[in-house]
Amino acid sequence: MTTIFLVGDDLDIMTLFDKMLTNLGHKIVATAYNGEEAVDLFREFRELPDLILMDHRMPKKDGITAAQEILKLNKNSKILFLSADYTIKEEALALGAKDFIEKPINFDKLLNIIEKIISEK
Amino acid sequence: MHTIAYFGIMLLIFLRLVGLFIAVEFLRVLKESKFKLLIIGWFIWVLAGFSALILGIAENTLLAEIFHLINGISTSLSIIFVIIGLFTYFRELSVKMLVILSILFISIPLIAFLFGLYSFAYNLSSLSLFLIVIFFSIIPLKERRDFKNRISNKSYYWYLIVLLSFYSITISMIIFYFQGNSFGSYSEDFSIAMFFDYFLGCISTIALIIYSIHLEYDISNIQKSKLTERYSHDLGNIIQVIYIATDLIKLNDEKIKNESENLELIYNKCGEAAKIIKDMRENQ
Repeated sequence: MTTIFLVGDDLDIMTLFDKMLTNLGHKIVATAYNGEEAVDLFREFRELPDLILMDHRMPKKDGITAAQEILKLNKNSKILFLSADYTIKEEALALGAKDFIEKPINFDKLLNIIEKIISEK
Repeated sequence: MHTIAYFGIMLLIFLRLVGLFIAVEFLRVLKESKFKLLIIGWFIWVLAGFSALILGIAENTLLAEIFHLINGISTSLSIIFVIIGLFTYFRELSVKMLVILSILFISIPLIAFLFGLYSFAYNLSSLSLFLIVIFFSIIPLKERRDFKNRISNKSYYWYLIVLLSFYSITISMIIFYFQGNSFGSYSEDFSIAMFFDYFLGCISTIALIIYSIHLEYDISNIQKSKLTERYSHDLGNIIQVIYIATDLIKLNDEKIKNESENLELIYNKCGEAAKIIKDMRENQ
């Protein structure tokens, strides 16, 4: 079972991701609705999630900044960016994100990418 | 009137009319109030050109002095309106500042004129217009990085040409003044100064027109790309919800108890997408 930490400010998307991934046998360990909350929650994790699904445009702190701080706390964190803002793709990959997916994406494709990242050592 | 002065003034009037026409066209198409300032500025500048023409042919000494003063004041006022009009692209317009500057630029030379200090009055008026250009050029130069981020390189280079030509006019004006000539009223045998004055005047006006066109083009492009980015982001999120909700419905019925909730969500998101498309069309 894969543990996933969801980060994004769109409540509908987060709720549906939670439902869908849970249905497919994954475990959502937490959901953060902005970058600041994401970093705070990440600090409190006793056991690190297998994957962080990260949006970019969020209030208080954006995804890129949150990802930088999370990777400073643990450089082995696997972050998958899922954003409608394609302009940050290069920056996201350069800072150490495992992949960047441009929204909207079909769920089957998303699952394939998640599984590919999880299987990487 | 000296031939150089006559043709110089005619050319300047023509160029200012071009500036006025462009500002009117911008207002007609874009309907933004900042263009009203530019229109007022260019219009007064055209009038200033005509006052210079009358000044050149006036035989009565006092009449010539009056038109010289009108020329100085109207040129200063027009510069204030044009410069502040262009400045509103970057900063909020202070109506108070515009009113204070206009009053100062009219009253001080007028008072000097009434006290019989004719030469001082129009030289002061001419000098003050260049001081205002220098004052307004300091902020973009000081905040160069932020300024350059908002406009393209082309606009920035034209802005530098505008500044360079205005600074050159200011320096030449001061030099000629100390050689015993008043700005815009050189002795007949001082044709080099005359040529220099009108040549730089034409260059600065052309540069100002090109700069204002580039500036408007840059700002429109930035606004357009911001809107495209915002709408594509919002549409991306909405379609993402529709994708996942649809996938959830496709999943086993036993696992998903409340399908109607998801169907309602899809319906709502379609409505949001339709609204965004409507906004996009209205903002085109």
